[in-house]
Amino acid sequence: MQLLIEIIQQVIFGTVTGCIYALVATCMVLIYKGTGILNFAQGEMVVFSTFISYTLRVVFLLPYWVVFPLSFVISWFFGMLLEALSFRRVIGKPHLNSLMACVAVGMILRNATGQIWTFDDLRMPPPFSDQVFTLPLGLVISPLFLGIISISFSIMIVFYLFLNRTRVGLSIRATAQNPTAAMLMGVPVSYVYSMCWAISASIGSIAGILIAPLLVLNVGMFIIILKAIVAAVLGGIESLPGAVLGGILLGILENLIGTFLPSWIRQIFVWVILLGVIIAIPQGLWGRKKQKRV
Amino acid sequence: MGHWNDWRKVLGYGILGAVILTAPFLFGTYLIFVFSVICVYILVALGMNILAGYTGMLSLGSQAFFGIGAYCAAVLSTRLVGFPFVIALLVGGLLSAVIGYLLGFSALRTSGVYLAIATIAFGMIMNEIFGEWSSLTGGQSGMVAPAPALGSIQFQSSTELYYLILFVSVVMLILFYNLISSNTGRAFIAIRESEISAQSYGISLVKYKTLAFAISAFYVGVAGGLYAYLMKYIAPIDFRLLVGIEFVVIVIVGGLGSIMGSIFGAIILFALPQIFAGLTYWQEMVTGLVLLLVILFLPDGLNGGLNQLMNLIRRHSDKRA
Repeated sequence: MQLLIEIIQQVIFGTVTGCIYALVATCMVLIYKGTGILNFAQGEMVVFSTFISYTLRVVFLLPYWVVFPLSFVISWFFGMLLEALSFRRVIGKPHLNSLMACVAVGMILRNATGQIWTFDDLRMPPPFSDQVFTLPLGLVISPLFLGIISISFSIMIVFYLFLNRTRVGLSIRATAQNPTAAMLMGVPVSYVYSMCWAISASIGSIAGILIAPLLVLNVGMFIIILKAIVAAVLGGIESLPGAVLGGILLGILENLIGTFLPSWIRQIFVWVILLGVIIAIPQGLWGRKKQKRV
Repeated sequence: MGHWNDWRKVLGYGILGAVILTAPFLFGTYLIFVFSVICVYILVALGMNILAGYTGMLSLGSQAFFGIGAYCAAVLSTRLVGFPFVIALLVGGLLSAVIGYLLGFSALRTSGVYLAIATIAFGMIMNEIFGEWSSLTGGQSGMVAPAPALGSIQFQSSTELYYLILFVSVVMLILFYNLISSNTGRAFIAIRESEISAQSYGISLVKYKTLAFAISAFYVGVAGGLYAYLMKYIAPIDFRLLVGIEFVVIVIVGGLGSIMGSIFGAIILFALPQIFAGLTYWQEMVTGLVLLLVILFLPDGLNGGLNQLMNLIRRHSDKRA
């Protein structure tokens, strides 16, 4: 019984981190589907936005209900700017180029974040109280956890509706399927590319505000966010629902393994899973197998 | 014109060779150390070039081979006093090659971005092993690598180390040149250009892709062994993901698929930061900017850009003459 409760508790913790992975993985899948680039700079983009949110909250003392939308909007333009300056030029180039362009932008952003703010650790004040309260059966949960889960799910639902119910969403889906055909049908493809990066940066900024209070905010945080790649691959890198499920699954597995096995296994387990999935089922758990034409 | 050109080339290479050979008498200890570092990274760049430049596969996990080579050299030289460094380097290189060969099988299942992610995962796992296997590697705090020895001879000073590293590098450079001009090298290039057409010419992807990984791992592993001897101290942090990314940056900035490119890349990315020590704080940004500009504007790297520039000048002067 005690074991069962412990497992349930870890599933709750895992869902919280899993939601963050899911959010960031969603951003990556969106960019990959939309532009064919796997965004290795996503982690650094999230960290950069989170430092902006930190400044808004701690230096300008704005309340969180202002910080969330403001940071969303700032990151939107930040994403468009990055796309216009660099990523637009590597669309359709070999993977090596686009991947390393992301790495380059990541390096620049990482250093810039450190130069503008600090290379040291900061404490991000939590948007909701992190005082835990006890549920029946001895389970603990805090308003912060509930906030993270509900905000993440709201964003994913809104994003889903946006993609499936609006004209802009339709043009994004059309471009993802076939950019040439979309262009011929009058879809402004370059605008769609720009939108993909803007949306990703914005959703990433929310993910950053949510996860930073659970960790310390510093430049090295990108490496944790990089784990979202694992989530995206696990779910199938071209599948949005796959990214969400993959993220939550990864979060839960990671917490369960961390509780019951030594900590170093927790460290490598994520990467072992990743290697296994890539070799055994490259299309991911929810992806579709791709046929290659000669 | 051609004659004159050849004569000038021979003289240029002669002077360069003489400077390299007599460097310890011309420059200070610190510069000699920098030259040795560059030699190590040239070997790394050659290894990375086999994958990214010649066979068209991207590995972001090669820092693990660097680590395997380094720990092999350090452990063998610590446990067995006077263990010949040549054998230690070879053991490190061959162990890397075997593991690289196995990793190469993942390249048969996937390619492009997926392969890059798979190699990241491999690098992360190996790094954790370096950190956790304390009895062998000294754990996170690292271990001391004793001076390389050959029987009773010990290579202690920076000059001795420089000649040792230079010797190994030149040997491996010559081997590399032969490899690339052989059938194997051409098979690699064929795979890079088109896997399907390579297969239809009877080039076995299984054989050559795994071979490319093994050879690349061998080069990086030997470089790792030299690195351990040169730095005299190694820790898992020397073999983290960012190091592996830097390896790829060297070959891309220098120029993919050319030996000169590898040499250029190693010099630019590792000599400049050492000389402008004040830049360390900004190094990551400078590296990032250089990499981005090269990717966007110089598809053949700095080496390709330099060649273009030389051609332009030559054509210009021809026109005047």
